[in-house]
Amino acid sequence: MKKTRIRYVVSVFAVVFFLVLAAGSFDSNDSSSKDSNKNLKEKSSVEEKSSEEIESEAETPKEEEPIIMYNSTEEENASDGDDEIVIIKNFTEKENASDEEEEIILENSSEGE
Amino acid sequence: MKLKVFTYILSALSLIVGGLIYICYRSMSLTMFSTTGISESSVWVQILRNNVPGEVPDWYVYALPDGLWAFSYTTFIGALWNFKSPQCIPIAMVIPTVGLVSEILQYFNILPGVFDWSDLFMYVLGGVAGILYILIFHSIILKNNIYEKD
Repeated sequence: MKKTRIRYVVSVFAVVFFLVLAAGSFDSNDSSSKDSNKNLKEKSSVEEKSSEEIESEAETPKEEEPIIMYNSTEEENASDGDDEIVIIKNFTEKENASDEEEEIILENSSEGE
Repeated sequence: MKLKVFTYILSALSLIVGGLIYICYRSMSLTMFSTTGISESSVWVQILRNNVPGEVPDWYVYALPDGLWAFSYTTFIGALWNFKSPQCIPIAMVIPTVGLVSEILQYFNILPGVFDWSDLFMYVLGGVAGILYILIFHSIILKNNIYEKD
């Protein structure tokens, strides 16, 4: 008889334990488990896409921005390639600069002195 | 006695496996984790989560633990009551029935949550498997006449 009583008590504890376990497995944030899971999957795929887009954007070469030179000297400018666009501001010429170098500077510069 | 010990171990294993599935795959914002202090920052949780297959079916994550716990409960009750089926089966059916009813209530939006056939199936499967387990061992015990005296 005593054993039966103990069994009933333990059974009640077991019921309470498993009910608490079931209640603990519920969460308002996670409750609509499947739905939220699906949403998470969709979200992650969107995030993956956006990250891929960012990467592809990063990989695509950007148009070369014009090099802006401040207080540049003729010698530096003369060494630049012809295909580069050089904007020269506050350009100071050296007194002994040759004619050829001056022409290159004028061709490359979009802004005059 | 050996049958009882074996059943208690089986019950504990079912409970642990169900819990491990939760730890490995479910959100750490669940009430059971916040109340027990289990967090994602725990080393052992990270080890578990990093060493399980990432892609598993939904029923495995969301429904299987319910079935395992239902089975764990029924077998525990069976062992506790020495597999005396007339006494223990009504008690053993409590948790599977509660799970089943809660799932049906979710279907009618009476209880919060999402109704899922796989949850329902797992509660039934876990409960029925546990009851069958009790009945099988009850018959074995009866045959061998090894009931303990109360």
